[in-house]
Amino acid sequence: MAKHQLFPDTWIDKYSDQLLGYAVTSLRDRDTAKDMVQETFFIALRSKENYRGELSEKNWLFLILRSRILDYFKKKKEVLESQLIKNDGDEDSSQFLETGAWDNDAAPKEWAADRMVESKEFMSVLQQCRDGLSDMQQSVFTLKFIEGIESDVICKELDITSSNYWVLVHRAKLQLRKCLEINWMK
Amino acid sequence: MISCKEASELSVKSAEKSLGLKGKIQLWFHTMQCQLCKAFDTQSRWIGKVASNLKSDEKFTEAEKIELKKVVGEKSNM
Repeated sequence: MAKHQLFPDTWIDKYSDQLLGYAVTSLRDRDTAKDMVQETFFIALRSKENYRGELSEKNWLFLILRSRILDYFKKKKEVLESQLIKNDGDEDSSQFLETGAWDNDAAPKEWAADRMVESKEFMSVLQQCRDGLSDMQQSVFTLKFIEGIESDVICKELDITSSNYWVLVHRAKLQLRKCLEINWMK
Repeated sequence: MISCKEASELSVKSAEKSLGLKGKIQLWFHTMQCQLCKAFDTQSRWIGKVASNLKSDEKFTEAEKIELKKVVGEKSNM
């Protein structure tokens, strides 16, 4: 099979916008995303001698960026950990009664099938709801559902326990579901 | 029977990994009788699925691209 080749002179014109879009989706901060795309190109230039042509040039650049994004979330670890510990008013307590039954205000309603569509307007509401998650929930949610990283890798990289991971995903989904119900389904 | 809170926790887990037999039965039994948790289960799975399609269409401005080319070009000549 023909191996791929690198053409660094064309990278910025061909891939910079796609890389930026990808980074902004995960990081939700354009300046940080811009820096990360720049760093991706630096790393790629430094490591081009190690490129073996197994991945396409584009996939190789995205792989580098994805690894930088994971590093970014790892660096936020200390802040994230302190949030996890301090999280008193957590989402699961606020949506359930002491008995563990749904609180009336938070109980899921039926969603109309015609509202469960991935329109541009819906995606924008979902994005706003995602922005409302705590940093910790957002990091885990992003790595899992947007980056598609396996939960055991996330736990290892963010140095969190499996039970903390499930608490965070549970809270994130509770909050997102409620937010979508209020802002989109009604 | 497990509570709705426990059922929602199992529902979130089951979207990512296989529950043990006990967990599967507990969740199945609960959602058979609880329409609220059944709705949560469907909606929570759907949220996980659509989240993978979140995309930003941010682009570099022409000025930013020129600057990026300059910075990256300098680095590549080092």
